[in-house]
Amino acid sequence: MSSVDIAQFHGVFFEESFEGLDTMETGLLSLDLGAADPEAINTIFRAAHSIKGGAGTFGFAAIAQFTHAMETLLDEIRAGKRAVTREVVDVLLQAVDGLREMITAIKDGRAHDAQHALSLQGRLEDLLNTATAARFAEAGKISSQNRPDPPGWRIRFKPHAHLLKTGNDPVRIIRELAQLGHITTSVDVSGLPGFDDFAAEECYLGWEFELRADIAREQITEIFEWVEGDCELEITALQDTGDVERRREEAAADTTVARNDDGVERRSAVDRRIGEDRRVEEGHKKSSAGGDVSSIRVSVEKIDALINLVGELVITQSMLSQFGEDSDSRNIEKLRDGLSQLARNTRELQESVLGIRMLPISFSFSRFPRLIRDLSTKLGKKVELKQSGEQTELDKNVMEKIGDPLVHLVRNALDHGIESPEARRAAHKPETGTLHLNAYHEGGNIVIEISDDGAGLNKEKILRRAKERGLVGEQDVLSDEQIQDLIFQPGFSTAEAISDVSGRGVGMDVVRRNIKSLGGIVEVRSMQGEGSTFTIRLPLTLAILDGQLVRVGKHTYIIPLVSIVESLQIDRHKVNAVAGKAELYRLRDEYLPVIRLYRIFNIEPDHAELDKGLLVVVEGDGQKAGIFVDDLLAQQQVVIKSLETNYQRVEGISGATILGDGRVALILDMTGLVALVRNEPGKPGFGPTQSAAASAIGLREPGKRDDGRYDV
Amino acid sequence: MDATTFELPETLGINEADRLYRQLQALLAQQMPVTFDASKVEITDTAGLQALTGFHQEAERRGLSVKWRAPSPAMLRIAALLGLSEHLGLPQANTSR
Repeated sequence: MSSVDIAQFHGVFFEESFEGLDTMETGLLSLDLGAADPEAINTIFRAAHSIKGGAGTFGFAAIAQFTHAMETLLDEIRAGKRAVTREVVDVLLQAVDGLREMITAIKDGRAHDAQHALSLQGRLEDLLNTATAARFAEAGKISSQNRPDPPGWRIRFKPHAHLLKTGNDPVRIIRELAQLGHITTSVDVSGLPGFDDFAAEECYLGWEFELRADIAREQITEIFEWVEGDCELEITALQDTGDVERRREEAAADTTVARNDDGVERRSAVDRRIGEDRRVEEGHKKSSAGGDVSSIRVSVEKIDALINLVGELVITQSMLSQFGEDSDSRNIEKLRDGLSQLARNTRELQESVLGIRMLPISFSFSRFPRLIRDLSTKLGKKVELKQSGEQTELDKNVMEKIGDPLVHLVRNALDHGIESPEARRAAHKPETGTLHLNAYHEGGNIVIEISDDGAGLNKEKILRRAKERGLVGEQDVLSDEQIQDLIFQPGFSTAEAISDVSGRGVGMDVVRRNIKSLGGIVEVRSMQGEGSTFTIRLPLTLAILDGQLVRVGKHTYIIPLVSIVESLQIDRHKVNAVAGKAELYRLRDEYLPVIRLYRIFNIEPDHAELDKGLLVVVEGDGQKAGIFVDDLLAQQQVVIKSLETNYQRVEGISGATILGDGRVALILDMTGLVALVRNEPGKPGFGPTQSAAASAIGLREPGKRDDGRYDV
Repeated sequence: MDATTFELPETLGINEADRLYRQLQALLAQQMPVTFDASKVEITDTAGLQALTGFHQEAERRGLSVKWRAPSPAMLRIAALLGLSEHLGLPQANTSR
């Protein structure tokens, strides 16, 4: 046997499979029920087929088996033997999720949720059986002849009188139940009062359902999640649901999860345990950064452009070396031309190399149609998703990190922004709300906008809540923008605002913090009754930064341009020095703490008097501060070198760069600096750390003597 | 005895339920058989159909007949989903869609 280590190709298989799953998901979501486009079906089928093939090759039997069922179903659709119904699409979408989970588990080296996979596979097989039961029975693959009626559940649902007023409608609940299987409904009208005593918005009805479906209790309770506490609910099994599941398990020999007769309960315990394991795994994965080798697929065009550029560079280089041999003063002009050509080539080359890491944002947007479909159903809202600028490119790293904040904002827009169809009608708006995702480039940034035409932010409510929580003083007068900005304050999310969908204990402050950590900003503009727009501005890449060079004494620091609000000359009369606390500078109607860099970094400034220097007003983590510097130098793009990799993390500094003259300049971390000053005003600096950082990058600061002191 | 024809509006939801209830009370006061024209009903919900069910019960109690003219598919579907078709005297509809 060959001894080639096949595991080295696993990475490619996983990556291709995830791409295939995305393709399947997008394809399934775009299918028209009843009249599906054959080409779309084909695309979905091909994706499933390649995953199955790959899984077979690499010996992932569970995946191959699972995908086989999907493939068979898709093949029947492709051959016109089966119609595209909502049920089929739903089951296939769930199967896509299940498969993604399985592949992720294998990739992370843990056991996948075998129970869940089997139950999904069972649903796929059930679908197949409805059309081809006879064939399967003959082949002896599934003993469907002996199968009793599908098991099911009896559900008694008696809404409390106020249920309808909460915006919940039994119609939605029953519709969702009906999607799970065959439902028989009987309504109890005995609670209806005499017509004269009738209150039209109270609920007097009660229901009892018999749901014939091979499903877990949780699938039912999930549907009633929104009315928990607003109704009486009883769910009882019609028969032992363990039987069917046990049979399935026996059929799948390779599963090792044991179970006993109390099928459903046991399964939820297993689910829970696996859920916990997964969280632990994720924790491990995050902590072991660097162990995760990722790859990227690059279009041939981009590679060709790079090869061309390198070719140009070689030509320029040979041209310049020729001048070196033939150094004649008459050639100076040509030498200059050559050098500027070299500079241009280098810049283009750099851009192209960075471009390799660039991917269209559609990779990130592509998860939203599904999310919105699922969420809007759950919330009983009608939402149309519009996307534009999907081809706008940004760095793969940035894209990976912006995913969660984007999901949070989209969930929020659906949960709190867009109103229920009834409320929209009442507000003379179309029933269907619109959520617009837009992306474009502006300057060196990518701008992502998430707009909805929902209710907008309620400024009075925000202000009231902020005052209650002490975020704003009782007497403070805030502009509309300042009020809207309050939602990003830590601790603003309240229990009231937390819901199953967007709550989850994560507030907008976390969204802002995540975006800040990418060097970006997030803002909200909202008109009450008309909707809200969240605008995220991010640098295109984490490798390069637009910086303002500032000078303090002999040292140059870089302030990210994105954090700078304005720069000004200091008016001594506007400085308030509070004993034991930071100095404050009054800028219009705000007081900004003054950060004296020379103190923090323990270096020698040109001037210690504030009115002889300049104040750079910056914003970090929603807080403004003034940074006192001797001078402003140029603005330029700088290549970020990690301090953590070359030395260690230093508070207040986000990285370093090497300037044109070879000197190291430290890049200031505004959030860190502001926090530093806020916590410990007047704290002595950490100059030695800074010098160590510079030497770690391999350069000695000019003017510094070997004994560690500075030449003055 | 003459019958009154009452045209149900396009939207028959919780927001309209109170108004509908008042109109139905006025109808009852006429002590005449009623024919509901439900051909225009596009949107309805539990509150809307519950009011009609209450009306239907009361009319039966008073010995007044209630008939339907061309109930819209949406109306039939929601009524069937809620299990109210029979109580409303509506034909059964397929709830599968």
